[in-house]
Amino acid sequence: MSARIRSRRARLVPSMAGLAALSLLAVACAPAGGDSGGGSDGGGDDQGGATEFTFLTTVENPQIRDELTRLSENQCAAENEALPLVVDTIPQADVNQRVSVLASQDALPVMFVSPTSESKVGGDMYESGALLELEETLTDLGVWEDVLPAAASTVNAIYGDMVSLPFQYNIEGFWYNKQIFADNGLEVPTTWAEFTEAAAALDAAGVQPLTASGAQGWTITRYISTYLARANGVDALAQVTDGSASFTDPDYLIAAQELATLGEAGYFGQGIVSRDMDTVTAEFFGGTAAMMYNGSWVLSNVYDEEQNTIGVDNIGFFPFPEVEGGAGSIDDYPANTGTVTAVSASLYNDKVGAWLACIAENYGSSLLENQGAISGFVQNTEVDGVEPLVAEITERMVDAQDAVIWLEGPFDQRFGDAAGLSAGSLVDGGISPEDYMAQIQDAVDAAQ
Amino acid sequence: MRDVLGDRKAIVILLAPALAFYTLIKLVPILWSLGLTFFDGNVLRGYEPVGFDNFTRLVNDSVFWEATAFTLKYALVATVLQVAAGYLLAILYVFVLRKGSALLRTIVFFPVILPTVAVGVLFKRLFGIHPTPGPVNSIIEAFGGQSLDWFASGDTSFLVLILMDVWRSMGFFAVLLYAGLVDIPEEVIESARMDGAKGARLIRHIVLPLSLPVLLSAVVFAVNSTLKVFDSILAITNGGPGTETQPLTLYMYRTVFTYNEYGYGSTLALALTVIAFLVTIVIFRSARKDITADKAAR
Repeated sequence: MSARIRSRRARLVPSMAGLAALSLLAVACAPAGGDSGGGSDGGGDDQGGATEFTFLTTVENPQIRDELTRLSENQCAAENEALPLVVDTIPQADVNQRVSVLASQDALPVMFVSPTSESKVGGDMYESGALLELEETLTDLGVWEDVLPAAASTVNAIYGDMVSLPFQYNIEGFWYNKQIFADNGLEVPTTWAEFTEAAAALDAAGVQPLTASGAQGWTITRYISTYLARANGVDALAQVTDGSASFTDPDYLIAAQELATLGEAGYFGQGIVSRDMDTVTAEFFGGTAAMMYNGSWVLSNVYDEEQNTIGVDNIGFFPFPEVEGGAGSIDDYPANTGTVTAVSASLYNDKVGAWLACIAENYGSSLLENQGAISGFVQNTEVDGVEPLVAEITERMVDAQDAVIWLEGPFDQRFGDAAGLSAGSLVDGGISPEDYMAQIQDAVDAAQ
Repeated sequence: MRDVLGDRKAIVILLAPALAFYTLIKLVPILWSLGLTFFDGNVLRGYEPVGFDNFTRLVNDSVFWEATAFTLKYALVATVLQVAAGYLLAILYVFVLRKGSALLRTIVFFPVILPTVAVGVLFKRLFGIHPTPGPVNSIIEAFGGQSLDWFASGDTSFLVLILMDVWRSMGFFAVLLYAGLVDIPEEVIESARMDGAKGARLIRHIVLPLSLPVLLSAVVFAVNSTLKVFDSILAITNGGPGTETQPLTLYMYRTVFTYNEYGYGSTLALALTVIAFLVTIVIFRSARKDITADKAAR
């Protein structure tokens, strides 16, 4: 080989190396899928509308996907034929991260679970314009009257706009063991004083009066927000958000003090900080604890014979008691519509509209008939054989006045962590009511 | 082959693609994260430059200082116990069990290959109080004591976390240090024995100085892994109660993926990197001082 050829080859070496490196980078950067030319991952067509009724939901909540699958095979079979339902799931813990990334890449599915705090007016998801405004859409489709007014007002109160389909509609309160109450000669308490007296009587009789979960802080923080709503009115939290009140004010601090007093008396039993929800439901439905604060979604546990060993007839429900002299009413229920289930604004088309109309018309009855659960959609078809407790809860929903917003509802995720992660310690005595309220007020101040 | 490896250009051809790939998957995200420390925002909202605001916020963030204090405390205690337990086991393998140590080495190493989250769940159950008292609480009750909610306070949670980490990783350090100990020439040990060095004196004056380099590596490994502890704490305490057992990694994770604050989360990541870097330098420098002092003494 001549020196000239070697020299030319030597000059080519860096170029070849660079080319090889670039090729590798190109391969590494290329999409994972083979087809890079189609619509978005959300099942969009060339015009941006949907070609599939893609639905992203959480692994932990099979209720909605099961019912939609049932509808796709029955009442909504025609809509499903035009736009097939495709369900995908992600863990609840991944919702914030995954849905935000999908939105940033314009790859959202047609219907999806959306991060709660980001879906409110002012939140990143809302402000990005990714969420379809549902009141206008459902009104245009002629099915707005199929949404329960209370459910619609709850969505609007929490998020500031109709961004979520009310696949669930829950009211919350105390579930109690009728047998234990009867054995101890107790009536259903209607005031906070009666409630604490009942708890004291149960404790004296050797029964654990209450159960809650420190691992799921909301089961404890609800005591604070609902006490505040009873004592200071349903706008108690709104006053904190607009700066006219603070969680450290004496009339707000008392809510945490009352809760800490219950904990100090040992009414929640041992180990509340590490107790999880499975243990809470096992304690209540196993007859260990007399009362449990929870939402109406727990009806599915009530009618599950494997879980409910004390019997359906022994389960009762009463609303969070009134605070004597308070500005709130016992008819104001803490309510929510479950996880935000939004619809993509960019993928909406007539076929999606047809699906939404079918859901609004049929979901309420179908869910009650097949799963014994209540949604925020009207029950257009009469369902036979509704269980008495389900009927009672439905009646309470209809009679509900104002919705009480949960403690974390109006605030951001940092507030949620500040309130939820220390809730068990507040009951356990690990943090004082003063420090707890100062901590959550700090989270409010930091966000402003 | 010698011709190929002696040719710088051939080396470039062979290495360039791999180097470019490494750069792409390693250095680019690091530099990207470094750049994000000067921005505020997230993938949805977009990013806006904020100068040094994230660093000012970091200095004034009490949660950051709490998390840093916990991280350093955890790293210090876990490192000392992990390496000490590993060293004792290595000495046991080499000087007591000798060739019969294979079975014990395998058993002690076994937790290393288990998924951390699975080990976390195991320890949660061991020390748990729900739905029924776990084995540890059962033993306490059997001796007339009262069950304890180990995860109700930061101190007892810390104890469980340390126990779990030491149990899980001592097998790894034992094998690492074992490799260092078997490298010590048998003649040196024998001559020390003939000079009358036995037991603790032999370890203190012969084995320990000769195994110092591998011990140093073990400490650097341990410090860096414990400074970055994440999954085990997430599985056992989730940083609680409150934020009492929240390390920097968990705070960083929450800041980025729960609070959607990518810029500040990157600043926390940078802070953790700097801490790990400084601690490693301190360890190396102090070790070098020891060696220099040793040589001077000789």
